[in-house]
Amino acid sequence: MKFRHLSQFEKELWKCGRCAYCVDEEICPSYRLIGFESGAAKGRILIARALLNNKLDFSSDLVENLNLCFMCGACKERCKTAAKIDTIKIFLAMRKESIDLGLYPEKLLPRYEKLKQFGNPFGLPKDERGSWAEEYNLPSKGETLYFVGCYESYVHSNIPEAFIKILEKAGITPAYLGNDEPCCGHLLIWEGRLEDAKEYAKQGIKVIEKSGAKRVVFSCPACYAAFKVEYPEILGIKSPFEILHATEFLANLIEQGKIRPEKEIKERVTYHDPCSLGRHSEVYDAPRKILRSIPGLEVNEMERNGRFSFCCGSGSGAITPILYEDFSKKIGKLRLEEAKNVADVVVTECPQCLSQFRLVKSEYGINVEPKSLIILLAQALGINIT
Amino acid sequence: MTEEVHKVLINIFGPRVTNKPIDLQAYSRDISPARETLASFVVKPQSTDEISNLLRVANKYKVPVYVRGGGTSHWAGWLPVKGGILVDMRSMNKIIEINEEHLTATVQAGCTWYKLEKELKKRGLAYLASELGGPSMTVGGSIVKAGGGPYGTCKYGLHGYCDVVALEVVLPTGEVIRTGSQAYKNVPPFDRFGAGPDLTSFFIGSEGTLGIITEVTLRVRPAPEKEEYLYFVFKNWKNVEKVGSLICRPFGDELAYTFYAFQDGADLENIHCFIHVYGYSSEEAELRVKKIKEICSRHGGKEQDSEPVKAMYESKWFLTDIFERGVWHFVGGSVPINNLVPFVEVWKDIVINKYKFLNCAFGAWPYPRAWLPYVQFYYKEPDEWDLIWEVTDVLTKEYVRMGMIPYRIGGPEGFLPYVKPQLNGYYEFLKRLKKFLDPNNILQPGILIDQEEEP
Ligand SMILES: Cc1cc2nc3c(=O)[nH]c(=O)nc-3n(C[C@H](O)[C@H](O)[C@H](O)COP(=O)(O)OP(=O)(O)OC[C@H]3O[C@@H](n4cnc5c(N)ncnc54)[C@H](O)[C@@H]3O)c2cc1C
Ligand code: SF4
Ligand code: SF4
Repeated sequence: MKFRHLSQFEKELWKCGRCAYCVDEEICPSYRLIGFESGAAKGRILIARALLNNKLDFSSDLVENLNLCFMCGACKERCKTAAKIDTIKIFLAMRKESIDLGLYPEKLLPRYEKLKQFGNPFGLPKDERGSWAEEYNLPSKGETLYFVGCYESYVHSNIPEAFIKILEKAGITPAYLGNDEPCCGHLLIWEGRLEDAKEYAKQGIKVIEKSGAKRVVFSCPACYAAFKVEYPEILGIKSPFEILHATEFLANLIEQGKIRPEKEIKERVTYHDPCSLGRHSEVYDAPRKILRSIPGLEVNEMERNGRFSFCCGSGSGAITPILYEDFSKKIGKLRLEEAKNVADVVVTECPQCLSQFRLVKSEYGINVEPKSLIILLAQALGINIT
Repeated sequence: MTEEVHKVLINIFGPRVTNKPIDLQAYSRDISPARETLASFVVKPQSTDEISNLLRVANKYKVPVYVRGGGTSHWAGWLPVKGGILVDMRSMNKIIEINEEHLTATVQAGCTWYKLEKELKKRGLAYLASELGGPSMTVGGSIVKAGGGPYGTCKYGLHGYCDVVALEVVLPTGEVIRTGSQAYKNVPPFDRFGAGPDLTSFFIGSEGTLGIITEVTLRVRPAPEKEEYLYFVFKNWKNVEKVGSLICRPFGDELAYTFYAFQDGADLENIHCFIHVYGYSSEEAELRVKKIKEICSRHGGKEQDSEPVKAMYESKWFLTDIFERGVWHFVGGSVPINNLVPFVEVWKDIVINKYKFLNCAFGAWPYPRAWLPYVQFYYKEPDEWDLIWEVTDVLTKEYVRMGMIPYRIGGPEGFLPYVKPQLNGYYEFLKRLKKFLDPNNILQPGILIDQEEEP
């Protein structure tokens, strides 16, 4: 069948009543960049219908258009009050078609190759994955397992370190897979390489099950979204264990009085909801609860927050920064400027958002400091970490 | 020639012109069932000058130009039936000035009401009437169709009654004019009347055929201090008609902002009335509420918990579950304040009894001495396309025959075919005006004023 992935959504596509709730440059970074309605969900749905009706060819223009979508899910959120169309699944189906048609962007190949060869998208040695944890002697088996993910193992390893130190304060020692921890495959899902991603999902679930874990805590929201939402909803694979994000886990510990942030931190902060934690996984309150528990903080919301938070410019699968770096930075700049309007520190809990903000900050000299929420909490607990 | 036109457009608009098939496809539908229509180019102007240049070029090359704001209208009012260039006004979205003394807001025509409301709110101001068309509907789009929806219309009427002070318009041949007081050099847009006739009105309801609106100065007002919501259920439309008329009777000081009555096609027992009341003090609001309650009770209305009404108005930018029952089509328009009931009867006869099309609702809201009744159809595309055309064709013919003025006219798949025969000499007059302003019939050909069909 022509367009075998997209055709599964044919009925869904006809539900769009073209209200244009989703056509809004304040919420949709792709529409903001493309400027025409082909950049918004409404336009892509009309395009998808035309593909299925043989009125349009799957052109290279379309591939470019699809890869300029950040898969941030803001349109899906808007459509919840309209036709409840799962827009991003439709865009993903279109990306899958582009792979079937051999229109896969070549610039994404190196990352894919590295992932295959090294088990991480950076091409760094497999046996360095767990290096950050050497001094902590974490067990490989246990009821509560900590899943770190590629980004935080290799690039932002101060976050897992801070997390472990916080847990030490609560008297908790989680299990950790060390060098055996696989990539979650989240990037591949959003590239549309679902068959590859399935292998990662199966492998991940297998090694976690072997560890005897009943609950898995993730500090990387992309890995969390992969296990919690994307495996079951996109790959049809359910995990047999409880899945928690670190912010949920930590907010609980605070609520139970097991950790008490008592050190005053006099900073004006704002919280940026990462797409994978917010809209994709619907965790909005836990990070804010943590912020509220820290004495001395002035916490201000940006105008766009929660369900209608604006993307950092990296997007699900971090595809746009690779293919269209300038566009990606433009969006990051808008977001950082918005943060600057209300705060001196933009707090988030996503390694991709953090990297993106740091890049944009240095590129445009925007005076707002990106910071991990877990690290901020660690500091409020008197832990010496930056 | 297309290549040449493309080059010229690139000169004017740079990257803000497209002829990529995917981009054109994205602009192929409005919210009506009108079938897919494709332009050859879409452009996104950022200034009045660009629009002026565009229209001059279009005249030179005799290429049709269509214009849209948010594209959320539903009567084939901008679909490029003759191909050509489609102007998407949404990049002209600046708020130029909010003047708290004149009580005016001047915006570029592509500014959305959603954006404007946020800015007005910060200053304790509000605008007058509004449709419930969501975050993408633009000020320009609403004005040129003299729209109005169940929000504020009971008191302020349709757009153009009292909320438009002045316009900046690019005429079809490219000249720029400013209406109202700003017709005079260096005079701000504080008054609708400038020199000679009220030409602000001339463009209101013109559906884009007489010029492209680039700036709109609106009348705004201090936001009311108190808003109240009431919910009554009635059993017969005669009483609803009377209640609507009485609430609006203190002309100029109508008791409510909004009175909105509707009945579901699947429940012919109950008529639900949502009422939105305002006051510049609690006492004023209370007095209005008291009077409205008396009127409703006297006419058999049963008061309900007002929570759903409050919820609807508070979520007016994002009405909930709008396509839950299917996508939309509407047939409706204006009738005198004492002539609502026959339209209900015909809805029941044709839609409910003859076609058994229950997935619909009859709604109506009064505005100064008129009602705007409409039938809202929910249907499934593509399966029910033919059916929806057939039912609405029969209903529209009957409604127009009964004297309903369609809420706007649009193109061949809008109300145009039904309206033309009813307009007699007036239509010829419109054609003459159009010919004078747009000798090459460049702007919105086939919409509202059909020049091709000579009498
Ligand atoms: C959920 C929903 C609810 C709605 N509720 C209502 C309602 O309550 N009441 C109601 O009346 N409508 C309603 N509508 C319809 C629609 O939103 C309104 O008619 C709105 O005013 C259209 O604004 P727009 O900017 O989208 O106009 P468009 O659809 O872009 O254009 C409307 C007309 O204006 C012309 N035009 C647009 N901009 C210009 C310009 N700058 N210069 C010259 N001509 C121009 C176009 O050619 C077209 O003829 C609703 C729609 C939706 C999706
Ligand atoms: S919000 Fe949903 S129904 Fe409305 S135009 Fe966008 S995709 Fe279509
Ligand atoms: S997923 Fe985000 S970027 Fe993509 S269309 Fe939706 S709102 Fe725009």
